[in-house]
Formats: sequence, C-alpha cells, structure tokens
Amino acid sequence: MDRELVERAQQGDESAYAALAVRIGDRMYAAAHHILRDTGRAEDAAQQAMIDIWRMLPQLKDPDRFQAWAYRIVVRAAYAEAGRQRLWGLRTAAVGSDRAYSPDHAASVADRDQLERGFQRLPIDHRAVVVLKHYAGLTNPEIAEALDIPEGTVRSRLHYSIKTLRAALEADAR
Amino acid sequence: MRSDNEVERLLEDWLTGEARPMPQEVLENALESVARTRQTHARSLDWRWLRGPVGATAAAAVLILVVVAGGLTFNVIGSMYSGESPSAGMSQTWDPAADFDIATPHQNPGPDQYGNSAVWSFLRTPGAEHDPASYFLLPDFADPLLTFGGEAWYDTDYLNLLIGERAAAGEALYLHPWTDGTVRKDAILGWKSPISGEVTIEGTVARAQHSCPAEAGDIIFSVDRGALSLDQIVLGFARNADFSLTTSMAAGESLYFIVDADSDANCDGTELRVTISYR
Repeated sequence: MDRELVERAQQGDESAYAALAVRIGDRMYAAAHHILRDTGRAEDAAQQAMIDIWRMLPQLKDPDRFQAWAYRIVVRAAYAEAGRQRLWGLRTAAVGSDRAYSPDHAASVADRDQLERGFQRLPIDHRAVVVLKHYAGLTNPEIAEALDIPEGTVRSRLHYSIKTLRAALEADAR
Repeated sequence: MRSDNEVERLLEDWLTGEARPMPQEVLENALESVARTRQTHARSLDWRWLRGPVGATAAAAVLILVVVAGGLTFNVIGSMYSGESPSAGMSQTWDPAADFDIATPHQNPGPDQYGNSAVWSFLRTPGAEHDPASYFLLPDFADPLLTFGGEAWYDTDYLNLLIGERAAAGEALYLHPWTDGTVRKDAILGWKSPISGEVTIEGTVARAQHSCPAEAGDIIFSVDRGALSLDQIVLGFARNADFSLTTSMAAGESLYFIVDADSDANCDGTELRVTISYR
C-alpha cells in the first residue's frame, strides 16, 4: 500500500483518501461479502467501513500496517451488520445465483457449490477467520490481534472450518 | 480423502474467484459521506520538544516559573490552603466510571467529582514489573475508539491496550492489557488519594469478552498501594469475583488497579466496578 497516500489521508486529504478507497474498496467489499454472505448487507458494511476508516485514520500510528488495520475495521462493520440482522430477525440470504467467477477459476463447478454450502454452515466468527487467513492473507498472530482472540482460537477455528469444508466437498464426491 | 492443503487451495481459489468489485454507488456514497465526516484525531501530549539543549533550557525555565509562581500563590493564600481537598474530613466516595467524563476535554491524569485534579490516571507498565515510578500515562484518547466501541485512553503502539468506558458496560471501566508474548504492558487505573486516612475499597472484577472461549486463559487482577500488592485475584474459568479491603492512605499516595497481560493478553478484556470510600 502506498504509504504516502495513507499519510496524506491521515492528515485530512480527501483526494488522497479517495485514491486509497479505490485501491482497497474491492478487497474490503469482498471480505464483507464473504463474511456476511449477503449482497445488500455487505454493501452496507463496506460503506460503513470506508467511512470509519477515514474517520479513524489519524489514530493509525504505523501507516505500513494500514491494510491489516483496515481489514479489522471491515470485520467489525460486518459483525455489526450481522448483529443488526439478528436483531431484526432477518435470515441471511444465499448469494449463489449472482456470482461472477473469474474464467481461470481452478475449482470445478461442483466443488464451488459444495464450498458455498460448507462455508454457509460456518458460524460468522469462523468465516471471519477464514477470510482473513485465506483471502486477506493475514498471519495467525495478525488475525488474533485483529479479532482480539487467542492465537490458539484462530488455529482451532481454521481447523474446524477446513474440516467442515472438506466434509462438504466429500459429501459431493460420494 | 482430500488433504488440508488441497482444501485450502480450493478455498483460496473460490474466495478469490467469487470476490466481486465494490459497486460504484457504494464507493461514491462512502466518499460522499467522507466529505461530511470529521476525522477523529487522537489527542496526545507531545513531549518531544523537551529533548535537546534548547528544549531542556525551555523546560527548566518553565519549571522555575511554576515554582516561583507557586510559591507566590502559596504566600498569598497559604493561610486558607491546607494541602488537601477542600472537602477533606467529610465522607467521600470515588468511582472511576462516574468520574470518567468529568473533564472536558478528557484529561490524563483526570479530576474527580470533588474538584481535585489529577486523581485518576490511565497507565501502562513498561514491562512485567509493578513499579509505579516506571508507569506511563496512556497518551491517546478517542471517542469513540472504533475497535472498542466506546471512549477510551489507549496507545496505538499497542493494539487493544486501553482503559475506557462504553454504555454497554454500565458503571464499569474496561481495561485491556497488551503483550506480544515476550514483552507485556499491563493496563493500570491509578487513584491518587486527595485525603489522608483509612479508605475502603470495594468492587467487582469481571470478564468483559463473553464470546471468548473457556481456554482463553486467566485474567490476573491486582490492587496495589504504591508498589505494595494489597490483593490479587486470578479469574480462571470464573466470570467475575468481588473484592473488599481497607487500607490507610496518605494524601498524594496512590492505589493501582492492574490487569496483567500475563503471557497472552487476548480475551483479557476486564470490567472493573470499584468504589473507594473515606468516612
């Protein structure tokens, strides 16, 4: 990430933040979408996260840690959005029908469907760990710090998640 | 049976392939809101100007000025000033959660409801030692601190190290220490006694992060008078514990309520409800 851009945005430069938002927006939105499994909620969470990131940027002391810090904020926004869902008794909508896969996608259609089903069975806090690890590329200590959970819990959630996803994939193979 | 590596590779491909760009209108709406949103700046004391010969000279000049002005003031009002709180001798009760918002803007150290300044301090250790001479004031304040969800003193060099208050906690302060597994920074609430006499300290310490699993580890809480430990509570699987003790305080002496970072500070968020009473 462009350190200078982050520093300018920290000083209140809105055009620098707009450039930053364009660069990180897709990944922030995708992370929220993966965690929430709902397009509308992901849009709300991502929008809120982009505003919160701007608001809180002066509190970030090390601009080199911007990306991990920003993921942390988007996960918080996703959790808040999920909390609202629970509050209003809404059910999480599946997102299967409007997916747009890249053409060079390696997994087979069957695998993707099974992964989708397996992933939806994961609790939201497990999805967050999986997304930060396997999509955002954070390390286990970074995930523990971002979610304020022990590293052992990160490892156990990853282990459980992979086990669940493997079971989903193999259910299809039988 | 598929290996972990194979499942992880499929998962990463799927997550990457399924990722869609942020809709343009979402980005536009966010940036529109940004234009109307003020940034929350951390407030911190900047002592860097004290470094170097010029800074040291300036600091010495300020110190002399303060001492001289203080002496003059004391000569003028000395006969009226006892060196203690104006309300010393009366029954008084201190509650850090109730006093947290007394000063606007927030101060560290902060005042109490009786008008005494620098009664409450929000501190951290530099390491594992409980040595008041080495404690640091937490330098930054935010309302809200987004990662906490309330107003808090914190230090952005140490993620999640904070002392704060949020509506959901009611009449409690929230303390969270920090460690990287090697170095640790304990979170400390300090109370500098405005009175001389015996005080009763009563309270409850409770786990604040209810979603944390049972294996999250102990929370170690202590009450110290200066460097002397008066009481220590280890919350194992327990959710909360009460404490009650009495001790004699001299005016200017301090009590410290400390949440240790131990070897792992994750899930060590602690709610502290405490009152200090002087009768």
